[in-house]
Amino acid sequence: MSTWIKSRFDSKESALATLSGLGVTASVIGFTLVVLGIVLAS
Amino acid sequence: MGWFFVNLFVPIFAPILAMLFLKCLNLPALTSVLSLVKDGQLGWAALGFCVSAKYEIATQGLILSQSATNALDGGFVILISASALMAAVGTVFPVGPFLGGMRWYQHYKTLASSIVVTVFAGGAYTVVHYWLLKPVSS
Repeated sequence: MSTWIKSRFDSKESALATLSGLGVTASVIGFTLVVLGIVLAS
Repeated sequence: MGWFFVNLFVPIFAPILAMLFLKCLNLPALTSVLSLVKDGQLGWAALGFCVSAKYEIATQGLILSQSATNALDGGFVILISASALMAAVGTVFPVGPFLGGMRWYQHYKTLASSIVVTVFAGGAYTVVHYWLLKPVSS
């Protein structure tokens, strides 16, 4: 696992792709949680 | 519609309009308008959307269930983290000019992902404003 994580940060290109993907994934999860909160509040 | 303009349109497009105004002055050190957003700067706008939404929730005095509060808090904390990550990643990995040979979003990865993060942050702010707070007129 740690080897895989290290490999993702070996080069500038792969690090940028990993971090960009992480940001997009996190925003999808965050938006889903906000919508869930609205549903639970109504 | 006024709410969209003031809270979502202005924070995203005002710097671009200001840059276009500066271009009209024909200054010697001007670069492309794309340089305003290509390194994840939209993350700052997304961060503002999330903080504004949190402020609106906090100041409305709504009494929400514990599970709803947890989901909203968790969602906005994750969105704030993603927005901050985009702004920081762009600074650590600035990209050069696009020379072709690939699609634009493969070269401008930070720009593409910051657009996605901004859309979701703006969407979350809109959902909170119109569905949770239910304003009388806006």
